[in-house]
Amino acid sequence: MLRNNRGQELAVGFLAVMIFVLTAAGLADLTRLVVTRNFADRVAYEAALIGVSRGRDWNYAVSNGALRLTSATAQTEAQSAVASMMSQAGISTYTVDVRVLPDPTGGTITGFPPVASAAAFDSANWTSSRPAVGVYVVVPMTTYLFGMVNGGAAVDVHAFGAAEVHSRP
Amino acid sequence: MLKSRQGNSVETLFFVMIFVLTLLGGVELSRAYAIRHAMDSGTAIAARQLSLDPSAWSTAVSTVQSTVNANFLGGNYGSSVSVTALDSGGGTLSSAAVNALSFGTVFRVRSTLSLTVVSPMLGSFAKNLQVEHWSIIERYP
Repeated sequence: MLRNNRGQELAVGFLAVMIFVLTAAGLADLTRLVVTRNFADRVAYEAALIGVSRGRDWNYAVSNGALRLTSATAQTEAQSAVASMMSQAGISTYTVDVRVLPDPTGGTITGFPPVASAAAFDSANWTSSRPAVGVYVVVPMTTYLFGMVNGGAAVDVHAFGAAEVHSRP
Repeated sequence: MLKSRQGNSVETLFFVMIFVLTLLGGVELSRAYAIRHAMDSGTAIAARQLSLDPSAWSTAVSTVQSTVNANFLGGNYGSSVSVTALDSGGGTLSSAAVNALSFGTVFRVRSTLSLTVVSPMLGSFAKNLQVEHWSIIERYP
């Protein structure tokens, strides 16, 4: 009863503060990762939509009765849209990979997106039965808690968005 | 013994203060996140609506406001949301200018809400929530 427990209390207090700080850092990391992933998803999807919209080959549609995409136009437009959105958000370090399935029957690109979890459907092979544009975006993000473990290296946030053309005969 | 009890009271008070601060801070953070998420979804839908029908400005605004009102933590913040259309360079567009955009033009829809966050012991402060979505005019000609 008369023992001096101050040392023990200090240790417990220190441990509690450490747990509190680590939990706060973990929650902050998690929130920032979710927000960044949502942003990257939105950028990928909206850029794909712009690429597919601007890349439509109307001359081909008039002469063949089906829509296809002009690969170079669709790719450039999607890349340019990503650049504008990233610039507007103040993000200068990112990676973008735009792929186009230009044919009226679409196709498959294996190994795209390179990280399967980037896509909502969690697949490493992108398939579409129509002309489509796929946009894969990687945004590196520094973290607080994980940064203590991995030496402050950035964590990559991957996102994939795709849009396709649907035409009615 | 008396000293020990006083010490315990101080510790408990200190713990309760941190706990209440964390708990209410968490509630406020959740509220702000729920509103921002609803505003994000609503703005995406509004941009798509304007993409297909650029004349439907009031419908688009109403979509954002009703989506914010329907956020899962409630609060009826819809009427406080301001919705703006911008061109791809960031210039503001009026509803008439949106309606006059030609096929294939890229535009943006931005929603803004000044939310008052109340934090015990830290007071209240205004936090500006802003989301933006890009789209392209699909109406032809």
